[in-house]
Amino acid sequence: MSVRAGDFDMVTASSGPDLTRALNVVALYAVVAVLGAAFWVQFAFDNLPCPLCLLQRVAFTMMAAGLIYNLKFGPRARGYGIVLLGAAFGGAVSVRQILLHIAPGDPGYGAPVFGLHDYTWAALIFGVAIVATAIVLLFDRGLSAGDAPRRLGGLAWLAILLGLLVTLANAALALIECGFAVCPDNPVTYQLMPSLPSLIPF
Amino acid sequence: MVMSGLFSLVVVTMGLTLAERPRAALVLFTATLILAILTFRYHATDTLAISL
Repeated sequence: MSVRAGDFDMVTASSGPDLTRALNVVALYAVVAVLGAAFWVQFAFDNLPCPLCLLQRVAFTMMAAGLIYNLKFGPRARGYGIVLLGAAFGGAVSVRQILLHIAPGDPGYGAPVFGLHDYTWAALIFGVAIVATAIVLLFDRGLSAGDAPRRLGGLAWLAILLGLLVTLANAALALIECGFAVCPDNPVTYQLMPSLPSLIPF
Repeated sequence: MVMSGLFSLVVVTMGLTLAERPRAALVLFTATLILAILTFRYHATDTLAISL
């Protein structure tokens, strides 16, 4: 019987592949929920996303792509790398947007939600995602144990389907909002469908 | 158009992952990230003419 160095690691032994998979599914649902909340804010408050807001949404979908990678192939350094790069990019964009509006008296962009603007919430969530991913990497046994991919359960497939759908919906809405030109810095209408808000029942 | 393209690239990345093409997915993700960074740079410097 061969003995590996990781067999004596009490910390990594405490977190098996099943727990890691479950965490990836939960994280994917969380990303879908964040993007769904962004849709709600967009239509309920008539809050058209600016270019930096759209880039933050792109970052969330990148994180979803990393989580789907982990679900499909088993927990892998590459999957976590994709999640971290997406979160780091989104964090840079959201902090940049906070700094744009940091001057006293600046009302910020869009309506605040629960006391904070969208981009401030986004910065907090990206920060939490980076820390959470780092913690999972610290305790993840699957990376060192060569965890093989397994059949995905119904909840995992539902999360993947929702992730795909919400990303597709973002692609369609971004096209409707920006049209075929560069997105305006302060959008006031949907370029390809100005009557879109009246069609959404919020 | 660029924003919609970025989302579309992520969708294709997810599709390649589900089609068990991990290398292609990784390459496309890298391209998407580079394009996103360039778009960020364009909008971040264009908004208030502040240099990064």
